[in-house]
Parts: sequence; C-alpha cells; structure tokens
Amino acid sequence: MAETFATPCAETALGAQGAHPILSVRQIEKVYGSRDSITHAINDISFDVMPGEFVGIMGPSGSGKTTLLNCVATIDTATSGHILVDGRDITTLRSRALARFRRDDLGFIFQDSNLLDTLTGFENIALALTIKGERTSSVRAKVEQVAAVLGVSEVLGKYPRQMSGGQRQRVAAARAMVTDPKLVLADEPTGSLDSRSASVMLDTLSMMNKRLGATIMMVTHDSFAASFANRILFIKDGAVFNEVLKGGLSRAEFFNRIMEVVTFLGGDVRDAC
Amino acid sequence: MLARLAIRNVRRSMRDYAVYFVTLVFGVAAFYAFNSVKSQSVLFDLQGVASEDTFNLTAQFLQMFSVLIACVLGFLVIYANRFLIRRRKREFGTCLLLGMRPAQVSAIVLMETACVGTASLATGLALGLALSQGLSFLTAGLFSIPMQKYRFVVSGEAFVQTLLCFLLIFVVVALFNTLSLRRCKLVDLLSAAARVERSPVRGPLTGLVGFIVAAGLLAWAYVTLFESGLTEFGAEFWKATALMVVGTFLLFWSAAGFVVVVLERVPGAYFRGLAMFTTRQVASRVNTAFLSLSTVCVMLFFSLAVFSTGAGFVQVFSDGIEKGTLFDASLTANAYLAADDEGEKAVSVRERGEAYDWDVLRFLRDSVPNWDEFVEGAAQADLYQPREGTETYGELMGRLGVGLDGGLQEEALSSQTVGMVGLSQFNAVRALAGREPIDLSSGTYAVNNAVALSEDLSRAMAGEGVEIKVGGRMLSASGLYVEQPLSTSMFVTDGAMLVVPDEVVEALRAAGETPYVCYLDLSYRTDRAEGDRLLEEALARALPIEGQEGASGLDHATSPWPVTIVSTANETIEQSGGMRMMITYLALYIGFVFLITTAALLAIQQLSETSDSFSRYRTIAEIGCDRRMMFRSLLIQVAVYFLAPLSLAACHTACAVSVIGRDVLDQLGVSVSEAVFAAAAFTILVYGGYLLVTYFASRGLVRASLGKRLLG
Repeated sequence: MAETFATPCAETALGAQGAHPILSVRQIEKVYGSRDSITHAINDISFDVMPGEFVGIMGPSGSGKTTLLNCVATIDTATSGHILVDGRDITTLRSRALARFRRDDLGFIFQDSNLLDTLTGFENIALALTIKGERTSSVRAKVEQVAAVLGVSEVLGKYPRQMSGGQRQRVAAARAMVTDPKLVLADEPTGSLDSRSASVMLDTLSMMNKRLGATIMMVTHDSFAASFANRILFIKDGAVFNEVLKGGLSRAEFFNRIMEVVTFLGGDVRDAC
Repeated sequence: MLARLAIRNVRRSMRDYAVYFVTLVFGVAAFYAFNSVKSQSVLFDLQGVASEDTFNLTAQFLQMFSVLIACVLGFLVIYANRFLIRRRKREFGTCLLLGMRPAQVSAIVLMETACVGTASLATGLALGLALSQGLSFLTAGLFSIPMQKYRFVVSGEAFVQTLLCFLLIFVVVALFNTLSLRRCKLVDLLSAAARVERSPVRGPLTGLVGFIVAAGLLAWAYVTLFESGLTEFGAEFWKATALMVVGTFLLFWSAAGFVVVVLERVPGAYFRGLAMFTTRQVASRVNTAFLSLSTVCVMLFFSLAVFSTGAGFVQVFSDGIEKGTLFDASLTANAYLAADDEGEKAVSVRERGEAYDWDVLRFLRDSVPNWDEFVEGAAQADLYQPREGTETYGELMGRLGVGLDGGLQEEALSSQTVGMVGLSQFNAVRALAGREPIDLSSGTYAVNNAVALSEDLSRAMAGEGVEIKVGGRMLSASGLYVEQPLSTSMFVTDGAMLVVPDEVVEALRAAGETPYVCYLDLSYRTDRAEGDRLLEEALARALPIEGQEGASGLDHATSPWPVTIVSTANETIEQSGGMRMMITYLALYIGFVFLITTAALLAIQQLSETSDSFSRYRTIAEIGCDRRMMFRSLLIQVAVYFLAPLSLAACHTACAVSVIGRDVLDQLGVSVSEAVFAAAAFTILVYGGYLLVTYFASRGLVRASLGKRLLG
C-alpha cells in the first residue's frame, strides 16, 4: 500500500490503481428504531469510488441501497462508520458545513426529478449556481453550455410541467452537473421514465461520465440501467453482497453478467423463505 | 370514539392555525364589546335628552355596522375553514378508505367545528367582557362626563346577540363542510395533495400591458378624486371608486408577471442567491391569489381611511368645543336666505326685519312676556357683506398674496365681499363673553378671526398700511387682530371679518344694505338645562308653526329672520361628545375588525402556502441551500405578501385622506397628519404583529418538515 501514495493521481483512468478515492465509505452502519425493535438498514458497508468512475448500486427493495445513498448525500446520518469525500470525513460535519458540502461537492438526480415547478428549466439549472454564489455575469453562459451538452437547450424556457419526463430528468442532470461537483448521486434516475426516455437518460449519464469526467454513483434496481455503469455493487440485507466489474465487456455482455447475479440474488431470497 | 378523534384533530390543527383562532377570539370580543356600549349608559348620569339620544344613536349605529362586521367575520370563518378542510382532504380520504361512513367523517368535522366554535366563543366573550369595561372608561373620557360609580356591566343583550350571530356563522360553516365532504369523490380526496397549480406566471406581454393599464386606471381614479373632491357622493365619486377597485384588481392580476419580466432583465439581482426562487414563489402566490389580495387591499384601504379620518374628526369635535360654547345659547338668523328673493315669503321676512330694524332681541322681548325672567344678558351681532362698493375676498387675496389653502373653500370665498360687524355690537358680544372691549379710531378697522384656516389671510388683512374698500370708502388697518367667536356652535365659522366703526355700518344701512347674518347671544339667569327648556318654550310661543314649517322636528318655526338656528352650549357639548364617541367607536370597531380579518386572511394563506411548498424547500436544501438563505427567502416572501396590499392600500388612503383633509378637515382647522400618524402606528402594530407571527410560524413549519439534518 505504501507505493500507492507515491503514484500520481490518474484522473480518469478507470479503477486506476493508486489514485485517491473520491468517495470512501468505511464500515458504515445504520440502525433504525429504539431498544425494543431495532432494524439494521445498513450493516457494515465499505467501498471506494475512484475519480471518473460510474458506480451502480443494486439490490432488492429494502436492501438499504437508498439509505446508503442518503447517508452519502448527508440527507441521513449513519449510526456509525465514516464517509470520506475527497479525503474529508463528512460524517463529522456540522450543519452549516453540511449545506456547503452539498452545494459545492455534490450533484443530485432523483427519481422524480425534483425540479421546482414554479421555475423554468433555465432557472432550475441556474439556481444551483446562484445558491453557490456564482458570479451573476457567468450564470447564463454556464447554464447554456451544460444544457447544450445534455441536449436540453430547447426546453430551457419551459416550465417542468410543460416538459416530458425524460426532458425533466435531463434538466435535473444538468442542474446536478452545472456546479461541476466532485460526485453526482443518482437515485433511480430512470424509475419514472418509459423505456425510450430511460435509454436517452442513461446515455446522457454515460456521456456525463465519459465526456465531462463526472464521477457518478447511481442507485437502481433495474439491470438495464445498471449495465451503463462501469462497476456494480450488489447490496442485500444491508451489506455488500457482490461486486461486478465491466472491465472489457460490451454493455450487452455486462448486462448478462448483472442478470446472472440478480437471478441468483432473487433465487437466494426465495430459497431463504 | 369519534369525539376523541375530533378533539385530537382540533388540538393538532389548533397549533397550526392559532392565528385563525386568535383572530376569531378578537372578533368575538370586539363584537360583544361594541354591542354592549348601550348598556354602559347606566354608569353615567346622562342629564340632557341630547346626551341620551346621542348615546342611543351611537349604540344603534354600532349595531347597524355589526351586521357588516358579522358578514366580514363570517367570511373569514368560512374562508379559513375551507382552507383547513381542503388541506385535510387526504386525511378524510384515508378515513373513508378505512371504511368509515361519510356521515361519520362529517360528524367528526361537525364536532371539530363545534369544539373550535365553543372555545373561541367562550374565550372571545370573556375577553369581550373585559374589553367592554375598558370601553366604558373610554366613553367617559370621550363624553367628558364623570363616571359616577364604576361597576362591572354585563350586557345581556349584547351577549345574546354575539352568541346568536356566531352560532349562525358556525352553523353555516358546519353545513358548508358537510356538503363539501359529501360532494367529494374518494379519488379526489386521496389525490388532493398531488394537484398542481395551473398558471404560475402570466405571459410577459399580458403582465406588462395589464400593469400599465392598472397604473393608468389608478392614476385616473386619483385625479378624478382630487378634482371632484369628497364633499358630495356624486357620480364622480362613484366613478373614482369604481376605477380604484378595478385598477386594484388589475394591478394584482398583472403585477407578478410584470415584476418577473422586469427582474429577469436584471441578472445582477435575479441571479443572486435564492432571488429567482423567491420571486417565483411570490409571483405564483400572487397570481393564484390576486382576487383575495385585491380584496384584502380594498378592505385595508377602508380600515386605514376609517381610522385616520375618524381620528381627524374626533379632533375637530374636541378642538371646537371650548371656542364654540362661550355663550349659554345663540340664535342665528340667516337673513341672506331671504335677501335676493322677490317671492312672497322672502319679502314678508324682509319687511318684518326692517320693521324691527333687524333687532332680534326687540322682536323676542315683544312676543315673549317672561323673556327677561330667564335671560340675564343678550348681545346681537349683525354681519354685513355689502353688495356695493366693497372689495371681494378674491381681490384681497390677490392683492395681499395670501390665500386659504387653494381648495374649494378658497374658491367659494373669493366671490364674496368682505364681511364686517359694527364695533359697538362686537364689543357687546365681547362683554357678554366676559372679555375687554376693543377700541377703534374713525376710518380704521380691526380684523376678527376664530378659524384656523383663515388665520394667515386675516393677519395679512390686519397688517400695517393695508387699506380695504368698504361701502365705497377706504378704511385702513388699525393693526388690531382679535379672535372672537360670535356665537355658540359646534363649529366656529367666524373668520377673516372686519370690525368697523359704527358709522360705517350706519352708512351701509342708509345705502340700503341689510345684514347678512344676525347672531343673538344669550346668557341665562337659571342653570343651562333649565334655561334651554325655557328658551325652547319661549321660541315656540314667539314663532308659532304655520303650515309646513314644523317639518324640521322643532316646535317653533324657523325662518331667515328672526330665528333660523338655535344652538345652546349644553346641546353643543353633548352633541360633540356624542359625535366624538360615535366616530371613535365606529372607527375603532370597523377599522380594527377589518384589520385583523385581512391580516388573518393573509396569514392563513401564507401558512398554507408554506406547507404546500415543503417539497420545494426540501429540493433547494438538497442542492445545498443553507438555513440562513432559506429563512431570508421566507421572510421576504411573507413580507412582500403582507406589504404589497398594505402599500397599495396606503397609497389609496393617502389620496383619499388628503382629499378629505383638503375638503373637510382643513376647513374646520384640523390637520390630519396627527390622525394619520396615529392610524399608521396602530396599523403597523397590529399588522406587523400578524406579519411576524406568520413568519415565525412558517419558519417553524419548514424547520419541522425538513428536519435538522437537511436544514443545517
């Protein structure tokens, strides 16, 4: 391990040995409830995410994957363990610093896009910048640039309810990207989309990862969506159950690998019953 | 079981809607307190018939306006209730889904209404009882009569009235709730929360055009009001009112769109922090609620106007009272009414006047045998406004460069010739009032003025070296300026008149001029109450009513001469006390209830808006907005929502009050600025209180909804 620190950081190299992890989850645990009824939502999970990685988190309902995402997002707190983002422990941050961390280091994409219904697409994207305190003169250019890359330029003047579901999700992606965050968190980003829009959205995420160099952590229960990632962590009953790397596989082959694990996971659950 | 559910629900919503509950309590309290004014009369020794009459009149007026107040409060209750019900549709839907019968759900709501109703009625009545005790001290102060013996007064009548009125309101609410629940479909109840607002912002062009048209309408309304004045409620007044109302509605309808369009063009302001979010929040709020916002604005305008003009009028009645009651009684003969009329009646009046040489006292002595038994002293003052060879006030004002106020009064005075009274009559009046006589040398004049409005003009007229043409000859100023009211009356009207040597008046008489107005001031041998009674009898005997002349309700005839108006000191004091009480109470009652109703309405709307926006606050927290930024945005939202209707209402009020001030109050020598200041202070206190409570409650709601972790 000593020599890993000696090697310089390789920013985009997939799973490059020796780079600093952008996200480092260390033995976190999340317990709900009181003395009488304790639920272990997360039971000792540890993993690293390298810069430029596109990690998928999969698992059945109730496996704790969303709890894990919320802990990383600082929306929820872990009962024990540490989460380091770019070397900084976010589990010990105080309230004001938490907001600053979310603002400066994280980008969010949710299942239901969470755009503000009273703001236009442009304003929704711009809000992430203005909250950060971006210089007012550069807001317009930055928003238009990211919108062009993500293909939502034509809906910038529309209100969310005037957009299609796919457009809404891509505007949300633009909002997450515009602040140039260290880590983009996506929670079931295709969950409420039809299959065509879902493909476009996943291509968009993939493109964000490859062309813009975004580090993405995506929670999903959809194997097709997961196949766009580079690496899949399977979570079951609050623990990391398996890990699948894309490596040199094509997307179709990777999808088959994922399906195998999912089938196994499902079978295992049924056997246990 | 249902009752337990109901009580729990009430306790839960009571915390959220404390603002509504408190307002209801205030409303009930005010309703009771002002309706109980009548029963306070037992505390006072109301000697004169006039006092009792005004007291009863005030009570009647208050009761009359109580109908209006009840409507306003009823509106508030129904409106707030609709809000509460709408917000809980999901909860009711769940109840129905769990298998409760619609009747049971209705029963729960009914019990809740009954619960809230009983609690607010009981609290309100208790507060009202306390308030009405305070009011009786206020009554004593306003009426300037000592309270004989204080005791706790409970007005059964007001109690029953309040009870009935609010019971009616709550019954209507209960019916309304039951019906609206019955009519609802389960699916609507369950998906109520998911419904989105339809039109967040009107098109930019619509907003711009609407705003300009609205501003134009308001400007037109103001100009119309300024030009037509507020002395009569004619077509112009109604035109101005209609323009103002329509302009207000249009302004709120378009303002949000307009402001957004403008702000979007200013990136320096719009792209800063939560400015976009705040603007859009307010805009969508104003766009959906423009109807209630403009209603609120009109109501606020009404309450502000009532407050400030009410306070102004009270001042009029307080200020005038000392100046206006120098004599026990004054008889006024408006001889000018018969002056240029060649009708039979007018000619006979003139003949009678000439026969007595316009001496009212001689006329009365001749026709009332016991006159000197109750009248101790009398002094007559005849006012002349010569038609020939005399300068008009307009010429004088032009020459001296001093006017009144540039208003209607100045215009009316301009065409009149200068008024004057003879020196010996003037000194007799002064003697009767217990003041030293004044001296004048031949060819000079003094200026008498007891009206604030004409003080500048009068002092200019009395200045060194000024000469005024009277009846064809020039008189020069003696430099003497006196303030001597010539009669007893509620409003002193003797302003900018000359006191001239007797020979000037004799010359005028010789030239055929007749008095314009004759005052006969009296002092009684008896006390004032007895004197008033004897005077009334005497006049009834001296001036028997013939034919239609008794229609005025008096038991003696009035005519241009010898007696047109009788006013006694006692009556004046009572009337002005009564007027003071009536105006104060009406202004307080209407102003206060309107103010709390509007403030509560806004508070309820804003609170429910806040809880409708929880998901938005959650989103902005998730993308990294910190607490300080969010609460600042919340404060701006609440402040704009409260202050927008208030500032427009303040504009309307400024316009209306300045017109009222110009047309009415200034002429009575009262400045409205103090009254306006008092009204503003009161409004800021009540309204500001509601604003702050709403802000802190909204903040609490957001804090509770987002949790500590997310809010930071």
